Amino acid sequence: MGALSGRMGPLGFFVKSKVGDWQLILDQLTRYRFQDLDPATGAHQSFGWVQLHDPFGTRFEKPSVFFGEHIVGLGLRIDAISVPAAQLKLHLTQRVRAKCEEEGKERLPKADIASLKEDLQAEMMRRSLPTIKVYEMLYHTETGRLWFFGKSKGVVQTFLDLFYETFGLAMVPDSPYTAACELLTEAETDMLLEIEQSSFVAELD
Amino acid sequence: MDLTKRIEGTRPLGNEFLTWLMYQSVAGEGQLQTEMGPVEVWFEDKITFVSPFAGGEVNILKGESPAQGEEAVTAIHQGKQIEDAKLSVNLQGRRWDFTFNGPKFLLSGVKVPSISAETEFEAVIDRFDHLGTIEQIMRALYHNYLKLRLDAGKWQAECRVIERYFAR
Repeated sequence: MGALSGRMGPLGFFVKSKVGDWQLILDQLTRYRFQDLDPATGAHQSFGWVQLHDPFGTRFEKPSVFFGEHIVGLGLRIDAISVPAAQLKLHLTQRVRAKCEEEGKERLPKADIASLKEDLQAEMMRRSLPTIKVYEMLYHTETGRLWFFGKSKGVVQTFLDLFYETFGLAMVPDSPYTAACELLTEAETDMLLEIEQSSFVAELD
Repeated sequence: MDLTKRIEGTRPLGNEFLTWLMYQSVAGEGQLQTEMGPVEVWFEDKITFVSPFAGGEVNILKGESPAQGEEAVTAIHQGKQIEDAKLSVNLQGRRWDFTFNGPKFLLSGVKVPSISAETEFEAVIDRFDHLGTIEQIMRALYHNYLKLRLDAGKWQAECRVIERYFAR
């Protein structure tokens, strides 16, 4: 359910203030752009900004970020490498057996098995290709309306943190209360806090 | 009170809004007035009712026009309110289909009116506009509800009308 095709299912937010200096934001986007996972570092995940239409595009200039005068479109790319536990276990069993034969032992100490496991995991990660996921973001710079097209808790938190780091702006999520704040005065929204839910069921006499 | 508490404390308004909206749609045969002009709102083939009481029971009504069926009336008589519902909305010949979750104030599965854009660039702008418009319509309907809700006399009268309607 993305921004670019098919049915849409975004989370909605309101950004509370406006960007003052877009050149600074473009520099920040470059700073927080997506960078390939380096298995040598042992990292399992990498994330950062990409162009809306190109998961491999990390050059950020106004024409690649703005759609029309006020709409900013970006992708949050998250790459992850995972080693399936069952596969790891099978290969580890074989390595342990080979090492026992090589050293003429029946068993290996726990520490040696842990070391073999660590080496094997790193090796399998180096051989694996990461899974790539891209979540789109659309942001109207005048109204402050922002849609993020990802819903899992971890992804949303990654997005919120990265948006704040990059744009330096806070936002509030949609809810009956925040929607009311856009429509009513402050005094009226305060009144909503005192309201008790009606049941639409006639009370018994 | 901090923002999180305000947000969490007022989520039931979303259930009440959707339940009120179902009444408006059924009683008005889909025709509603908003500050954006007349709109058609139809409750489609899935409505989820929940009980507001702790450990609230959930009723999922499916099938053709469940809003007009006996099960919806029974759910309301049991004090249940709508958590989410599949809706279709028409404004000036354009139609949106989507699911709306009241307490989260969340649209999902939004099918927007057809887009005639020739480039990806134009398509993004068109889809943004369509998504923005359906949000505006839902906010306009919510505004109608809030204006009534904040006027104690008018809201009481509205509740009596809704009670009588569903007691039929």
